[in-house]
Amino acid sequence: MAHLTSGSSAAASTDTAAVEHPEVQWTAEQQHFMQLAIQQAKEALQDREVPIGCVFVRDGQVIGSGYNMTNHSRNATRHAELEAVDKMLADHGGDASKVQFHRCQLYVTIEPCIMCAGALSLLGIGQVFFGAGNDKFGGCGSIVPVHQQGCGSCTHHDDPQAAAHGAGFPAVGGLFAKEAIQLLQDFYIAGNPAAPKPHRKVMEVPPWQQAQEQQQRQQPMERDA
Amino acid sequence: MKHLSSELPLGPLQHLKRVRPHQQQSQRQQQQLQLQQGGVEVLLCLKQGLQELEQQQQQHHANGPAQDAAGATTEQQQQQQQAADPQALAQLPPSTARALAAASAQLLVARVPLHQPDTRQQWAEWSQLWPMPWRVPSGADEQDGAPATAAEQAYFEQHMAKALAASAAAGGRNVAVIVDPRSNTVLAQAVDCSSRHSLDHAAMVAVEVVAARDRQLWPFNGFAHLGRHADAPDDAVDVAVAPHHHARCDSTAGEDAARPPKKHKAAAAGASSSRHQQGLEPQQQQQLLLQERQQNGAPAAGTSNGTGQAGPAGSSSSSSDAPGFDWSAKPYLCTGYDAFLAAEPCTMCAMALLHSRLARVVYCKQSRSHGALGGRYRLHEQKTLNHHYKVYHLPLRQQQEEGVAEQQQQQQQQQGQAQGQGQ
Repeated sequence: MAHLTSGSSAAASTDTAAVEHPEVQWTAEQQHFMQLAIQQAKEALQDREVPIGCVFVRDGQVIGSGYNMTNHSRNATRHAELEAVDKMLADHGGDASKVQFHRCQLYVTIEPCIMCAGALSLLGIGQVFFGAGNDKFGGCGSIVPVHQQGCGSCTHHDDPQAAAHGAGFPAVGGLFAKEAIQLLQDFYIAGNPAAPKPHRKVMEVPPWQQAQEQQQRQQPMERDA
Repeated sequence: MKHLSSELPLGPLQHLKRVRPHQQQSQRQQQQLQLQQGGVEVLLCLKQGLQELEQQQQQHHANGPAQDAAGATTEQQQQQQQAADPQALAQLPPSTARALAAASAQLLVARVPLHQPDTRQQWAEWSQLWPMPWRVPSGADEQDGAPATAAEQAYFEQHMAKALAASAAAGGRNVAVIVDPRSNTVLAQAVDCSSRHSLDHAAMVAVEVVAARDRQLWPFNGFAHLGRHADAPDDAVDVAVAPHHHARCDSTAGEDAARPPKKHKAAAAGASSSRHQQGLEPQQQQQLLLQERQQNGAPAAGTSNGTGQAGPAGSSSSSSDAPGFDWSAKPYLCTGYDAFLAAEPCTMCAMALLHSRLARVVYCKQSRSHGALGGRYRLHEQKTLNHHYKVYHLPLRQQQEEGVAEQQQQQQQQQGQAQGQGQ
């Protein structure tokens, strides 16, 4: 949870969300936490992971955070939410009831996908705030309203009906949607290095690293000739 | 044929083959719809029109599918030979009618099975009316793509038996088995661990097992490794070495995978920029990368054949060497693999399998309350999703059911003994 320390670097661009969704009045606290989620997404960008980040908040405190890790892990299910959940469970001895998800709010830059929404239902999350909607996999209304229908459990073969059906949860989107989308655009402009057939040429050094590298390089050799 | 399927979609008759050889001359012509010679019969449309059929079909459903077994119903079908009933022709789309006239085709009516067969016996009987591919009954209305064959059925049953046996051994907990169908290799078999971790459902664990295997066989090696220059020949060299090499030094690969990703990134970024400065061509960079990998890889690299040509493949790496598959040899997630689950996956797991790009998902026990693939929801029919797998519901046959129960009993009895019996 080392990334969480820089708390109030965020709360600057407050009006964006309000402009996009004038009907929703975001509180300063909500904006603050979503900015932390965006910080997580920026970490992902540095790792050349799909830049989606999230924080879990309980009693006004961040208790978990994560960003998408699908490229490094070679596991398409390692989304920001599940990364954060794993850390939180580890912090609580693997006991989900100690995490008290029903008292937690999730701030995530992109609408949770169908899988993550299912996971959040199974965990009994209290509230979800997201940035931009996800028109490919959105599980909070964009594609499937998992946040309303909930997710059951497939843990047992003998009696699949026995397990309780996870409840739905409130989910509201639109908080810093533009910023969230901008990060994704930055990522895809540089090309996704893990795509099986890249749609565009994958840049060896993405734009956001070029500046850094130029500083480091100190022109030892000239490549142009 | 393409034209036909857009102009005259078969609609409710998707389960039928579109073309059959002419009945009298049973030798099989190429199944083309080039309407030139006699020899093939092509299914055009329903005689009564689709609306009527839909009503009819609803009635059939209301009556229960059992009655359909004998009562395969009548539809229209056409044979090419000579011009025919002008009225019927007039009802066809003009372009189709023109094509038929040009080929001097003859319209006629044939009886075809209205429903997809539920059993192999039905399939054998009904296919006499009109040929159909055999598909494992799934409850899924839309199954496109390659038809399931008897061999596929056997393959399904083989791996489902594994999943069910493992589930029985684990006290009924759900089990997911992921198989590479090209080599018929089991890549992962995972039992539900949700008591340990709320989200560790069987499918989630199985997907991670496959991912861990990939990380070990093709360790993350910075950006240059991630980049798939799919068509570059040097990539093939890179790939050919990796599995053999790393299969022999598991610990190294394991360490590599376990290292925090940020280190990788830093190392990779540094390495790649330094290569840049030396002005190397991409090919050379690849080779350099290879050398680095061999040097850094492990002591075992000395004995390992550098070209990766000879030597037996590691037991688990053989699957990726299967020929005739055209993605660059590194697997991408679970692309092309099949998942077998004892119980129907929930929404989370179904979507996890979808993210992982599995080709087929086969499950045994349906869940009316939680199932996401037919039991309650039908996630696989969401058209907007970027990937679609085929779904098969493979219910237990009676004897299997008994077999599983027996096995469960046996296992309970033998718990004290040294060895359990295989089957």
